[in-house]
Amino acid sequence: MNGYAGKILRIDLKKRKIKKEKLNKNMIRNYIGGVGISAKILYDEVGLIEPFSPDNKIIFGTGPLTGTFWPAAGRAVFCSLSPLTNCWGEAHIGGFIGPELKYAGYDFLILESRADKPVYISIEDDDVKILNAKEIWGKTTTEATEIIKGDGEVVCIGPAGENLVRYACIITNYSSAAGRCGIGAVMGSKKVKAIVVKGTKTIDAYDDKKFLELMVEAHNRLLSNEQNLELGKYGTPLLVGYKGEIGELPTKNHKFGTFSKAYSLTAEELRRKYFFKNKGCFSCRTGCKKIFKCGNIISGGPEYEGIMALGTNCLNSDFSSILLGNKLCNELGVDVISIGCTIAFAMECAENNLLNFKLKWGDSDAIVELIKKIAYREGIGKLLAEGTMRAAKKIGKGAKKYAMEVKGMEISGQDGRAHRSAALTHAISVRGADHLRSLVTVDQLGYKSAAEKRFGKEFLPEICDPHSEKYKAIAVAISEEVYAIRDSIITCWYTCAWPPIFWIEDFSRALFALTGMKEFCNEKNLINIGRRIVNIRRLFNVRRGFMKNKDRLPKRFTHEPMPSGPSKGQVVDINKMLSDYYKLRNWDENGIPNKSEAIRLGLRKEWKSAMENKNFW
Amino acid sequence: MLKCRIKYKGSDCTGCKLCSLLCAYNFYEKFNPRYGRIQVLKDEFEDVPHLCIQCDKPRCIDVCPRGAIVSEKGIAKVIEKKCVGCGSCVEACPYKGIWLNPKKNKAFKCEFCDEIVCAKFCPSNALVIEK
Repeated sequence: MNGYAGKILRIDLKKRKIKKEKLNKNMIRNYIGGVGISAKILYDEVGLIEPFSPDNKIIFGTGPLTGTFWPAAGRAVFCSLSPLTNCWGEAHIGGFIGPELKYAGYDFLILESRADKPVYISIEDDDVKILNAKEIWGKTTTEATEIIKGDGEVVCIGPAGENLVRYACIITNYSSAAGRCGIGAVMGSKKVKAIVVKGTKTIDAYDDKKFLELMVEAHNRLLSNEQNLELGKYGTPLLVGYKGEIGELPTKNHKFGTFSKAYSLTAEELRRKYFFKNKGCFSCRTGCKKIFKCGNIISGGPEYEGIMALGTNCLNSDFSSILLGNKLCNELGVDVISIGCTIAFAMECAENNLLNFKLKWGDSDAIVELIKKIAYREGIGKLLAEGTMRAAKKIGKGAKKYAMEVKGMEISGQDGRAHRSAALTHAISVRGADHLRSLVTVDQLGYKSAAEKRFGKEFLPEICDPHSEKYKAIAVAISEEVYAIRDSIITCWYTCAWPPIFWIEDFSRALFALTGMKEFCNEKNLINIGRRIVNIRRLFNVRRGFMKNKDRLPKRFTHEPMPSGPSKGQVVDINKMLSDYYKLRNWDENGIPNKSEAIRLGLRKEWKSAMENKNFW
Repeated sequence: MLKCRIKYKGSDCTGCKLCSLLCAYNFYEKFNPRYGRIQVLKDEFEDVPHLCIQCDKPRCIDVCPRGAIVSEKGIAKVIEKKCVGCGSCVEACPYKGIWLNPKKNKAFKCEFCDEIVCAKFCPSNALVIEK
């Protein structure tokens, strides 16, 4: 099968049974790969259970582009029922592990049940083993990687995953993370410390000449794009400056959108003072990953989100503590966004005397200490390891209003008051308050020509107005569909949204040349597949009782006008955008896909089971 | 004697392995960087592309017990038919520029092809062509 390895590797950890299944062509036709196929498998196989139940599964998936020479084709995805949100969980990862899995002969790896004692999985082409992890259990991700890597690639969890921290992540290549949704904790609950893969097989293309031609064109477009080169030079910390200018730099637990000491954290300053080396994921023409050196700390990252979470959002401008904190997050295996926002939440609770614990805004030493405490669930770390939603519930006394989360997931580094489409994205995102499933950049960074091309001329200028709700649902809905394709084929978020280079027509051409499947040739059909993926993920959540009741924002965004900066006075009218969005999706006013839409997308069976169970919770 | 070689500038490699991937594709029209005649050695803080620099005194030629590596216009070339996969050349090369093909178990190395896709497509221009 061109573009695919053609197999699913299924491992039952309890029975120690290893099964190799053929990848079904119908599944490819309807869901492509990556997050699409994972969504179908997870919907069918993970029902009304608890995230830490042995019946939960982890799907590690690749897409047809993974492992080819298409730009940034090193991506892979982990999907599972999330212990942080109790709903759909997905987390994407870069590095080299995805391609390696395909070279070993598998498009997907499914982990089932729970091992009796800590294990790790070793895959060397057809030779798959479940090995004793005694030697690496308890070790940091870097230590574990060094011990088992050999000349393969490793993904592993750190102590946070072992200790079931609800936002534990999975790390590959020392500092690349499948960060959000706590799938590292699911891996910990299954007692799987790591997966090491070495593959010597190969992937074929259907039309070599055309695929090569398209790759060369894409390559040249990237290397002649100034924003892409800028991103390669500075990395995502560029956003610290951009967002400061438009008043969207989350500061003091998302209260403010500007930070007076942000200058010392801007990309130019970091590059001038601390730049050590550029790093790139597999086949990447951007190379956004940076290694920084500060004093005796050398470490990959932090990305913009890390600087926001451990820095501005905690009123911390000390870069050495952010670098050290970020390094600890990678080594202990914990999502930097969730942990940073949880610490900011704790700081605001402490300020309002809700915690029996001293914690001051901007205390950089305390931030670093708290990361360790949370990963090992020591002292107050035990409470904070549960995430802001659960911690707020436990603290009571009104702590809820400081919990900046949606569906239980801590809010990433955007602010809907300064960037209206981000408000809708946070509210409706299938995995909780996260940006990557549908973030629109045209109103944030003012990309007028991209807006015209992608959404239509008739929606300008309002669609690019960051302070207007108008047309944001259109931009979010279309982006969500295209990103569902992006996450199924799988290629990187960068080059697609920021800078806005590749879009559905590029994906369609590349996919057809690679796989030869005529279904992918038709852009309309591809968008339809995107809609199918959006809907099946939504139905996964509806089946668990997640409907409009969970598509909400913290009051800070909807009732507290932005206190200062370029977006001063702004609040979000989320209800207007939600109802626009549901209408566009052909969902009812409660956010449930209409039966006609489900049938149109071939999801009749899934719709029925969601309807039967939605009130179960 | 005309000698061409591709050399690493000594910095700027991001470790993306595009050079290996494209090299392998150029030869076999298949994807897997393991078959590239340039290999990136990576660790946490360092990435270094390794390939044959067509050195003046190729140890690989000297140590091969089967005479399977010969010099043609200053470029060391592997005669696959003669190679028995003993790995002596791999051990002897001080530049780590020759490997055994994991499938065929035959030595393979950069023989300075016409396309030079590794250097042409390197996103950070880390490889230079010397003529």
